[in-house]
Amino acid sequence: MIPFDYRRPDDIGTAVATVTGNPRAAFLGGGTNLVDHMKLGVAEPELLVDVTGLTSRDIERLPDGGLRVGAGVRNSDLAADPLVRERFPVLAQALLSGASGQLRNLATTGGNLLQRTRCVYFQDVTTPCNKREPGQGCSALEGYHRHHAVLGASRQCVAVHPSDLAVALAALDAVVRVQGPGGERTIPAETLHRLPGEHPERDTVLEHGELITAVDLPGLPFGPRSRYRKARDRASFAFALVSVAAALDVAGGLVRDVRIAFGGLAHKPWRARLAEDALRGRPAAPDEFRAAAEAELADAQPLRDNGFKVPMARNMLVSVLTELSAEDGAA
Amino acid sequence: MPGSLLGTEVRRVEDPELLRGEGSYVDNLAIEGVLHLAFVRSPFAHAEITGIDVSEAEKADGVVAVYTAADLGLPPVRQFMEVNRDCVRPPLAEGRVRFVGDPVAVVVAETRAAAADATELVDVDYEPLDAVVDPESAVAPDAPLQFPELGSNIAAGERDEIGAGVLDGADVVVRARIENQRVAVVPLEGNAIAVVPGGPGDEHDLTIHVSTQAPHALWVAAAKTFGLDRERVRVVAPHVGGAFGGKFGLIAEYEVAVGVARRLDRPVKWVETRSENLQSMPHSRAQVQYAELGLTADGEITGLHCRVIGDCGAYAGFGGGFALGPTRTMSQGVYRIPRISFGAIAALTNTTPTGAFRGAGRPEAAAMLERLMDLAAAELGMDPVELRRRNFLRPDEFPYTTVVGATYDSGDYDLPLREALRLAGYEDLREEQARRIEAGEQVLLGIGVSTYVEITGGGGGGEYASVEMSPEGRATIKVGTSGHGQGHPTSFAMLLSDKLGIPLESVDFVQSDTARIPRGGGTGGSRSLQVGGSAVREAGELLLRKAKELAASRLEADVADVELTADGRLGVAGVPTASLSWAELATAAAEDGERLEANTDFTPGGATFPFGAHVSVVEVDTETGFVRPLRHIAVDDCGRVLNPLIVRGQQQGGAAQGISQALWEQVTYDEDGNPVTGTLADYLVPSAVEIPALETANTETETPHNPLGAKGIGESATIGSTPAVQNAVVDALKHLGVRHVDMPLTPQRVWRAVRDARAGTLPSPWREPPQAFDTLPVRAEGPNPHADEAAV
Repeated sequence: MIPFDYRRPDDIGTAVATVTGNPRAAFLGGGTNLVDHMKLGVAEPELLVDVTGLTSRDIERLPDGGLRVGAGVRNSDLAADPLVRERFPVLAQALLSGASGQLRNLATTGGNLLQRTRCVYFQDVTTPCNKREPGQGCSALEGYHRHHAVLGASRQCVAVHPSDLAVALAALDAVVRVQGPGGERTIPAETLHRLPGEHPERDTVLEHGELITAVDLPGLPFGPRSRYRKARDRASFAFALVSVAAALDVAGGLVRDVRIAFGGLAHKPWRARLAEDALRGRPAAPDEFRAAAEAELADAQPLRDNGFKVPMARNMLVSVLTELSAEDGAA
Repeated sequence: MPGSLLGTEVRRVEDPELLRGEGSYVDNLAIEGVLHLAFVRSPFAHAEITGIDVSEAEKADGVVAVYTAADLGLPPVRQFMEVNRDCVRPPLAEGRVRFVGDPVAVVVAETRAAAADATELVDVDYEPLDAVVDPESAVAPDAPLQFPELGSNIAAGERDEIGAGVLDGADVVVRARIENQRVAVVPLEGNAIAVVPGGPGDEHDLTIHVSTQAPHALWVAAAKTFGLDRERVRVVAPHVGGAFGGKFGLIAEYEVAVGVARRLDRPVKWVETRSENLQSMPHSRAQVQYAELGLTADGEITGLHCRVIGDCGAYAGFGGGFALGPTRTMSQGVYRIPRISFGAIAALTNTTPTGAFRGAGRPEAAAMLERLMDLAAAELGMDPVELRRRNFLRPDEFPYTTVVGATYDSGDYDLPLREALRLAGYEDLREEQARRIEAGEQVLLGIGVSTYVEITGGGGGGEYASVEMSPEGRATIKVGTSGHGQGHPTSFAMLLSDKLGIPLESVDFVQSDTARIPRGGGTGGSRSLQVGGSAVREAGELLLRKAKELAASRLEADVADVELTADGRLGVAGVPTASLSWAELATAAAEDGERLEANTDFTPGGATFPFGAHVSVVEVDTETGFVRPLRHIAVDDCGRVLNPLIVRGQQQGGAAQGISQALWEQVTYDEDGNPVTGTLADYLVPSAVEIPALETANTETETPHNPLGAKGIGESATIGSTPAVQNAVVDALKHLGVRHVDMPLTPQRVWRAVRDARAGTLPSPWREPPQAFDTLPVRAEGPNPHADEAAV
């Protein structure tokens, strides 16, 4: 680790201005990912600006039946919140499927979204990696890439985003509230993360110095009928091979509305718009779910060793939607 | 006299201290002025070092010194077991690095953080060389050589002349190439050492606090390496957070730590990180086995042909040598096998050196044999249980010398098998399995059986123990074993309590300190109770004899009339008023200027051979390949049981690790030799969720080789469980034609097997072994030099 300065400003404006003014400054939330990266030499900030006392740790009700989650809300608190569990079970399930109890006690909502890929090459500074050091090349393309992307990747980078929370938020049409040097703006959660393209070093559309202050969950009447499922190598403390976040609204045996996002397939949470469009107005039946999943995954381009992700994603979506359509309380 | 504690469930006397967080590990020791070490490690699997520049690191804040191999000039690492003396390992790499993690330089600093930071300032120039990552390509003719002067990557190897001839005349031959994958030891506490050099007038020139399972061996090695008299060196192991075979010897980093402490004449400490642990602590297993079993049409074994490559990793790590030693020694297993031909290669690869892990060569033998038995059962259309029974050695044949030269002490192999099948409800399970297949269900049931025998307490060594009674009536045990979680303070106190009629609370326990215990074999090879416990018992017996003589003289009675009374005194038979307490006896001895003490070196009659039967029940999802272990039944026979609670704990921990090898754990490298499983997020040690409820039981077949009748239990359940689980997974799919799937049985592998079976494209489990086996020297005639080997 190289030496760094640490500051704990009194207000968000100062924090944003401080980071904006120093290209080698970084915000510090729970530190569960950034501090690891500093130990590994993956990140070498010269200034850490601690925002854990600045961003809200509250979960507020919104008039439309939604919730506003402060960026400082710890993952464990968010997962345990009664309103979250009641209105958006997919979100609580996604959080609880990630990391470990100790990590969830520290990790924040904002920080969780900004965690970086777990690609072994990204985390090993002795190997080439375009995300860590643009222009070095991608070691995973021909290397160990069982966990890597099958959708939306580029020759520059085949990493996947590891957050479970982000997948649920993408499915729920969440909106990320951001404070930057020029004021506040909002970004749909679905578009917060980007595909690698020619710039894999950029995970998100945030500019340097922009701070996530809150995440809004708009009201979703069928939110209670939602689910998160995650396939992984071990039942706890493991990242997703594939995950699915879905909410389903069924009326008269037909899909009235649906929200679907995949994790583990791409450089960003993969909102499955094609599948959603294919399903609206169609019978809530497994063969329809399967056709929708196949439509979404038609462009998948697996690498040598991760072809399993395509049928796995398809089968998981079919099973999650089938279970949701059979749930009591169908509208 | 109150009822004996022996054979009863006694809670562990050492646990309250551990549970309250009062245990003391190397990193907890408060050492005045201690400096911290951090190692600069190779990022390349194989490279020439063309230059090392430490000047920037030396200037960094808090740095006291930075050393390379040339600065310290230390002698080569003394391997705990030597596979090839020409594969010399300097403690810091000289000229060439041979695996990712190979230490190249060491930074010494005032704080751990300063040391870690400064390692990044050491500038090492490497000229990368081609790396060999897997042991089969290591023995290919064109493989890059790790020690060019050796002429090949074969660190050791030998074969039997007869070869495939042992299969002549068989009606059927089953064969498979079986991988027993590389696993990491993963103790909760990694390697740790603190070295305190002595000053003028100090009792020792060198005091080493170290996390080890064999302090006396490390002591001897340290004294030899640094040219010191043993009396001038003290080695102490405080609490040790697990070892499992991974903590033997004066490893490279320890030698450097001692060298630095002596160079600077200041205390130093090194406590490795988890990432370092996964790179530097020896890995184990890591065998590729080409195994062929011949049988008659009615299922009688006629011969076994094995060709096994053990992966040494770099520098001829001793784990690769297990292929030649314990794996061969246990290759006959529990069966009557008239002829065995065994070829073995210990191969060098550019990976972390291998060593011991719970079982150390015996699990590999059992797994190989038990896979072959299931292959044969499927080939012959027999039930796997029936095939095993047909070939068991009979209880009346012991002692039994196998064709590979091991002499089994005692055994009754059907005894634990009957019990395991009864506990499992074997017939009902088979019915449920058939029902699911018949109904076309997606999730199938697999039932796996393994029957095993292993070797414990071998190596020919005995053990030292002493017992001393204080004038306060407290007994102190000093013993040369070195427990670290196995329950020695409890087990040994039980033995002494039984012998002397004193309560457990009156027994103190001393171990793992070379200044207080003159010699000791440490803990490994499941030896501690059978050898160390027998020594304690014998020392107790000697003490009792001394005490009786003293009592006889004080009470003016014939020594033959002195006996232990019901309330734990020594009294004269028939004279209730004439008795002395232990405190009075010790005081009397002190008045005579004597200590009431006895010590002994116990030598067992030979290695013991525990055995058992495991049944694993798994569910296999044929759509996803996911395996869920539902039940695991472990019936392990470790001879006479002293404390069932402790035996059960060993069975549970052992089975958990064995199940984990079958299903989840594997150390992997990419093709350049970069570790891919370098953190616990990537290396799949299971969590409590994954491990099924463990159903343990014991049968008790005593050994004649020690007075306790006890055999080892530390490794048995690891050995028995792995093949049971692997067999269960294959068993679930055998109706599809699947005969073998390598470990770990990941969803991907299982799914592929199902897919291939349904497509009719299952690959053969066999392929021809590397040509290198044909060039091995033929094994010398005569007794098996490894026959009594289970030191680790």
